Amino acid sequence: MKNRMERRTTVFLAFMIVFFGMTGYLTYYSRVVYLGNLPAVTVIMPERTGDLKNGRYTYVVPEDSIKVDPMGKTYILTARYQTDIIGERYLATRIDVWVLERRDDNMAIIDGMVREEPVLTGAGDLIGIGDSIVVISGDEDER
Amino acid sequence: MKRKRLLLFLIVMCFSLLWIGPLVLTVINSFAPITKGESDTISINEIRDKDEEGFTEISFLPEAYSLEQYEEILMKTPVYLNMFWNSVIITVSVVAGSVIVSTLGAYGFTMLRFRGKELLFLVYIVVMLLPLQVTLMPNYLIAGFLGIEDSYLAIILPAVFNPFGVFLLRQQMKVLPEECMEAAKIDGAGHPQIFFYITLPMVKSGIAALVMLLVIEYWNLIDQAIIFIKRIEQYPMSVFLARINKEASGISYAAATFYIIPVLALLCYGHEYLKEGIGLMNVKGR
Repeated sequence: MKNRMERRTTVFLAFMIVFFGMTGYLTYYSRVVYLGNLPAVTVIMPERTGDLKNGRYTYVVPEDSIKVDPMGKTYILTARYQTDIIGERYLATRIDVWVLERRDDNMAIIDGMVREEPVLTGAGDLIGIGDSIVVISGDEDER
Repeated sequence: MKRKRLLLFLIVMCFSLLWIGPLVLTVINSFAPITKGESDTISINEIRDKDEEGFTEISFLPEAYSLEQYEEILMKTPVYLNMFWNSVIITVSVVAGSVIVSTLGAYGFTMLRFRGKELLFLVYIVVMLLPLQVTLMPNYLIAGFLGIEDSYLAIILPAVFNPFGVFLLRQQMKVLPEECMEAAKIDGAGHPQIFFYITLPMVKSGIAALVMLLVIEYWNLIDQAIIFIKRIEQYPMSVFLARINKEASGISYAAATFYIIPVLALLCYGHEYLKEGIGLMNVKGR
């Protein structure tokens, strides 16, 4: 009886070690695969105009980075740095903005940005709010 | 007599099939491909509102078999495995903490003499009888007061001090032979020695039963996680499984099957302890 219990305990412990070991490895593997498959987007660091509006600075961003939701509200997507259990990555974050002026060089002056973050350009509709992304433009400070 | 036994066997088999049916279907459908798009007959892994009369034609078995669902949850998206590890963190912490607190509490209630012991134990039983939903709000307020409302501690701490463990182990300790304790005392053993060398080995089955009951309860926890945890990446997998919807139904079977494996293994291993431990709850002792 005791022998049987000991055998069962050994089998159970061995199974648990293998199961959790495999799960641990798969967790690591899936993170690597996931981070490797994230959509790459180009970003640009918004340029401060030097003007203050509503206590905030206004910024110059490319016109194609400004989106309009079905309610008619204008917004931009910024790449917000995030580090969590999955790893280091950026999240596409919605920032509601007001377009103050559209310029001839396809740039626009906006108000509403509180944090200076890289702005997604030309992301189209493929990137949704909250999506994990990889930032490929290295010409600006990305964090 | 034989006929009676056969009838009983058939009835028991019917009930067993009723219980095991959903489990078998879950396992079988976890091997169905992740279906996308419309088809005339849909698999159970693709439940959705279909025709204008509101009826949905469901085939219980998938038309094709593949490992796509497992590939998705185990290799492509780390979110599901993260949720799995969240469940592990919560369950292991609760079980470890609860076993420590319950064994010590039960020992105190059984072996020590102090004024108001029975009254205090009555309070324990009353708290134990309260439904979880009743204590959620006070727990939430206390968690807010302690500043731990958005962390696992808000779930783990109330669970660690759950009176059920004390009650279960106290019932076990009550039936331990008093002679053993007296002999130990005569030999000069103090409470720590009696606790570690005599009481704990003798209530092994009770502790094992407690461990299993706690694992089952906290492996499947939903209410506390939904209330206390705000960030989705911190949710345990039980919350995801409880929120199966049209979009996630394609992988929910594989997730459920994968999620069930450790608990099933634990129950297969320790079901005898569980029976023994729960059986001793009804024994009257000192």
